[in-house]
Amino acid sequence: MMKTALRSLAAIAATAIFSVPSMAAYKVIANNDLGMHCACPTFAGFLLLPPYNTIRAQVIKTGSEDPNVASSGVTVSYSFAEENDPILQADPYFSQWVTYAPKMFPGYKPVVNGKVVGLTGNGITGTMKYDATANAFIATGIPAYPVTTKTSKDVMTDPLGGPNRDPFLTALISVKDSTGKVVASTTTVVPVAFGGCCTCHLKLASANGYPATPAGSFKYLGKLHGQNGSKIDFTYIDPDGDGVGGPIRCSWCHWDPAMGESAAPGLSKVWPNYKILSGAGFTYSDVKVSRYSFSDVLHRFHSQDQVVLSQYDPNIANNCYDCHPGNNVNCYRGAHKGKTAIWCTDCHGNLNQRVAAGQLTQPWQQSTLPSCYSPAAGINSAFACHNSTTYATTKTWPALFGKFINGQAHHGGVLCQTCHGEPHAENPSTQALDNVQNANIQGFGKFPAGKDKTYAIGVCNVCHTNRSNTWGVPPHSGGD
Amino acid sequence: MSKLIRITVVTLSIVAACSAAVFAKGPASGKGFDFAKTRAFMCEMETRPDFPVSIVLANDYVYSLLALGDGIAPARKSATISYIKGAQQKNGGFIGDKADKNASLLYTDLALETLGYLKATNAIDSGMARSFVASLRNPDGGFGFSRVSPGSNLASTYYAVRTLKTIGGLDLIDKTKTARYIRGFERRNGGFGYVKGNGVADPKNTYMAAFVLNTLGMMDNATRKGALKFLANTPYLDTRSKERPELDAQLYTILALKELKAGARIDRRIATAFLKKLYIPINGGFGPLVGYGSTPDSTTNALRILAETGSLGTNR
Repeated sequence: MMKTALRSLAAIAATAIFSVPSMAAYKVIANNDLGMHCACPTFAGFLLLPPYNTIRAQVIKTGSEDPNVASSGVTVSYSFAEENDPILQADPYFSQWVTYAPKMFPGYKPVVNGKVVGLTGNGITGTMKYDATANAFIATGIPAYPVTTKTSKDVMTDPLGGPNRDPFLTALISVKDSTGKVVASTTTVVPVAFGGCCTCHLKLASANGYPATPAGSFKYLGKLHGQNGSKIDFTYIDPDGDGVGGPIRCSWCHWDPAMGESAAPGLSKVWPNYKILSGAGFTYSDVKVSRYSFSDVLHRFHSQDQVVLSQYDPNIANNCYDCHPGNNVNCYRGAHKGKTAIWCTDCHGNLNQRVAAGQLTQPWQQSTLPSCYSPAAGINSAFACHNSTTYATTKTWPALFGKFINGQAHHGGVLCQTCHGEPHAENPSTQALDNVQNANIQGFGKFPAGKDKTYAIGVCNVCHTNRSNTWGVPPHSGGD
Repeated sequence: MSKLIRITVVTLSIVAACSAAVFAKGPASGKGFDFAKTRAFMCEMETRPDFPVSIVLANDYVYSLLALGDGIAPARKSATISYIKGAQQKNGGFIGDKADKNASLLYTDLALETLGYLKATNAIDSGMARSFVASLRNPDGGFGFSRVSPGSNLASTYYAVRTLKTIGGLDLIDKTKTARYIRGFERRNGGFGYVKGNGVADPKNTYMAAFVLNTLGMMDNATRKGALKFLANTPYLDTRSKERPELDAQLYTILALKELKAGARIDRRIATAFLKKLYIPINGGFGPLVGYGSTPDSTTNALRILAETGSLGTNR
């Protein structure tokens, strides 16, 4: 109890300290790359999404009318107000990740020298690396995980019946110069939540005679998978030869860019000596790399299956929160949501549209994602998008989620998200936490009617010394 | 004494519920709920150029506004009917939205239900719809979901029976065979599940089975008693139940009780208390589970519960 109270106080204190706008000649603005990442609450059966979060920070060296985006001479580090190594390692759900992740990613060690390490080598605290293409300091694959803080921040319900958790972690970003002196700092929201999968799938298991547990769900899903064209009941796959089926990483056979892979590796490449348990209705020759991406099989099946439609949700094509975090967590909460009735489907298309447009064959690619100027290819939005001439960007960044908000614009080097915030949580966000950073950075400015400090950064002298402190829309084309 | 008060309150609630019609005739009001906000939430889709977006959302919109006693503006009514007409395929069935490729009994049933609320069932080709249903009839007495998923299941059979009841055509059904097919989903505890064999029963499938058996005149006393016994142990009638309540299951319990001629057993107090936990004051909507955000679908089902229990507080 005392420990929890101290932890909460520490988090509040840390946030307060890091929220004070820097007076130095540097400014740092950091954002998560997506606005909401999912992570599974259980890992013993199979893995949909691992703990994997990414923060991008741009450090702006001010002090003149022509500031520049720093690429060297500073060290950018991150930590979290609500989460650290001992908390993560004591978490019963995260402990499952520690136990089973090495089986899903052979060679990967989730804990090294007592410290949690994510899939890309970054920990829950660490240093960000400069990326010349993005013109930003980046830390990818941070193993951030929803945490129970026992405060009012614990808004996310747990589909497995555990205590509520906080899905909106606070990253503390600190910039030091070559002498080790802190020259700038900020806070940003790092969102990570459980999806809605377990809510339906535990019921699905019990409706079909299996225990309403993750293990029961694993068994039943394996059976279902065995009834499709592949014949593979994946519960009979024993990757490491310990005599027990699972854990399974779906992306071994179904390509999933979320795993950082450009193609499915195939089970035999990952586990050359895997076993098929007795009683299986398939053979080694049946275990092949699928021609369907994971995104494709997952979305297409759910939008077309008669049991899903007739027993669970006839409107699943439009109800994205059935699966994406909707358990008191709003993935989609940004300015688009706040101003109009724009729905997820206006940018991405509903599931039937996405299948029809072939989006899911190339998931998470620039070719199938929406941009500021148009919805995803093949989708007719009910609303007009931003004008590509007025708000031109000089280039788009060829990375996941790149096209949507991360194209570089202002002065050719400032990421869109640096001023506008995270995708899906653009400023002003309907959630106050998302607006804290911008409010702190430009709170001293003057704002015209209808605008305030929570809007996209538009006060010139946040970066440009001696310029106006009145909020306005800055030039967007790269040469300005 | 307290037991006597409780019995009195419950009795009065039941009397109020039983005297309720489906739709309100004036603006709805209710303690703890801001129905003006609820209405605004449901009307958000009106601002969309692609209104009413899909068959399900059209159904949500029409049902909710009528239940709230607000009526449907002529232009919206016309747009909705036109959208539904456009969703009827050459084979007579309906698709869920414009990008959906396969007509199914699910969306055919929902389309007809919506047209029924608008008193516009004659806007579509009923003969073709009837042919579509007939084309999915199977030798086992059940009906398939669609041409792509032709195998029988309980839900599809329910949609088929409801559709044929609406547009006429129950004579297409072999009542004995269909009743036998439906009884195959009965569990030992008296409820019905969505697959035969093992697996737990649930209120939704129990309701659908009761509807089919009743509509075909094949409900017997033993089945009725068994289903009531099952429902009595759900959290919607038994406060000691450890099961996590869900909005849809709450609704189907109420509908099942009515189908089983046991509307007097509906516990309005439990239903209302549960809905208060699902209510989202910020937008007037209702979530599907405690802790979840509101959607048009879950909000509509909450209004169905309030309407079915006579709790919309209107001149009904």
